[in-house]
Amino acid sequence: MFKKLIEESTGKSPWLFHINAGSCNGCDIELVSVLTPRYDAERLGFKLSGTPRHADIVVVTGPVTQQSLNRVLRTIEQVPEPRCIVTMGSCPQSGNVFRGSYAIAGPLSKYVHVDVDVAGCTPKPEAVIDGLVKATEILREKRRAMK
Amino acid sequence: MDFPFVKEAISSLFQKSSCDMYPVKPSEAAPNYRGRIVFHPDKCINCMMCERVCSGNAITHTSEQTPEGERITRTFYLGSCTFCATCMDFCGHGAIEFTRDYHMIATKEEDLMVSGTFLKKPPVKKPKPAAPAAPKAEAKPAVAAGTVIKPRDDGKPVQVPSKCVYCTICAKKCPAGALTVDRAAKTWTLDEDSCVGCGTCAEACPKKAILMPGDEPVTVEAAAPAAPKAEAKPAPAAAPATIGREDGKPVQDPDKCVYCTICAKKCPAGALEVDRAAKTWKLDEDSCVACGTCESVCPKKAIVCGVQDAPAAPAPKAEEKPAAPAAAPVEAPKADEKPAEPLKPRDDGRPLQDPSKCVYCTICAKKCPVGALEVDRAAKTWKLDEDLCIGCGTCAASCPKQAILY
Repeated sequence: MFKKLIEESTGKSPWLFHINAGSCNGCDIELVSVLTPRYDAERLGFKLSGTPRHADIVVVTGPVTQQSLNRVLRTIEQVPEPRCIVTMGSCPQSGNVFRGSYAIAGPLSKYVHVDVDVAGCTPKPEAVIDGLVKATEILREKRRAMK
Repeated sequence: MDFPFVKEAISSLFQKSSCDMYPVKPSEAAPNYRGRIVFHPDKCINCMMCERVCSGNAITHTSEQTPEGERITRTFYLGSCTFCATCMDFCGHGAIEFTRDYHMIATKEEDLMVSGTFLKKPPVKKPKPAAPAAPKAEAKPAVAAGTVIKPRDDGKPVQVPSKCVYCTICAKKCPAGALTVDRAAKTWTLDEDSCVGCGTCAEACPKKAILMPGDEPVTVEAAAPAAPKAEAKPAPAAAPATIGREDGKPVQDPDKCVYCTICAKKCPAGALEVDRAAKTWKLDEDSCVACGTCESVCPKKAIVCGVQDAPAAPAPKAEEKPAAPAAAPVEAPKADEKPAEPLKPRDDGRPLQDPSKCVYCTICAKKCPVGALEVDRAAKTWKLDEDLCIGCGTCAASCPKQAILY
């Protein structure tokens, strides 16, 4: 019964972990603004966690540079299953204007399965909330499938 | 004990939340927000400008040949888009639109694709060039003297055959590849379907032989170009009274020429070949468009375009004048070249043209940082926009003839 309670509450309050994979900081700033009182994603249960081991949702920003590729993959591996990977902005989805650069290893979907893409450069905070809500639904399905 | 925030905390309990309550209460983006792209395939003419200017390579197209024509599908991948709207700005036909829809959440890549298909019909007949009878072999005689060539209403260019020298610069500059110019056959053909009416051809034309909407209609004069190559260039001091050629092409003065190759580098048509070592100066008659650039850039004034007075005359002329008007106003500080002239620099720090010296080379207009000068080589006009001029003196400094008082 205690286990069930934990599962119930983690489903309702997914914790975020934010990875900057060479972002220009535009998306990073918007992600932080999602958690400010104005947009207040915390009222939906989202909470930024300090370590990937506590996270449920991984938000990746930036075009995944060669330097960051290993770190991104290692960090994502540390997130326990079921996990949901959200790309924020155009960069991790395609490389955006950095596409074709020798320093870019992305897009992220070459390396891991990406669950939700939030398009925009940068996305509006409302769009990020949309994406996170979508990620929560996917997370719930994944959790159900794991049982 | 003092509780600092108790009062504020209690009063805030009864106030409205400062939170936006987004998913519950829908929120609209700002009026000029650039969100999801909407593509109108019916307006697209496949000029490809959007694909060329897209920095994120987000725009692609596939084409398929069908009996009715070319079926083109243009796709915008929002996952690679920076939403800079440059494609929209470059689209001359308004086929790309940015909406305020920011809900671009996708679980599959296809969700971020915006595409549209349209049919590009093959040209039914050979596209009729704008100017009458231009594609005929002898274009110039085909247009009777006195014919008025008017700009078109649909925003597309019109050629003025009497001015056109078939230099092909317009065809090279056309972003849509809509112009075909054949130097040998003297034809200028516009592909009506490809032309986006951007006006690049008219801007690039060194002879102002292309009319765009808003231009003045041109009356064709009795065609007298391509005069027989009159004085051949290796005739340095041959012409006693006048020098230069009637067709406006450059003539080199071997005495003055230092073979610095500047003229060859600046020639927009690449018609000049100068060899510093061998001391040769060669003009490719076919390439030369007689634009006069070589004359204006020559630091030694060793090139003459068009018929001019004999070399002995112009230089001393300027010095003769000052004797007569004795007013002798204070001269421009740097203008040591002319001691006195009826013209005196303006008090307000703006430039003044000396028409006797000005050769209407347009260098001052090009150098003007605020675009306040308008110089027409053909019409020999020099106009200053008093409102725009900031009195910086760049024009005077750049004038190769010291024809600007400042």
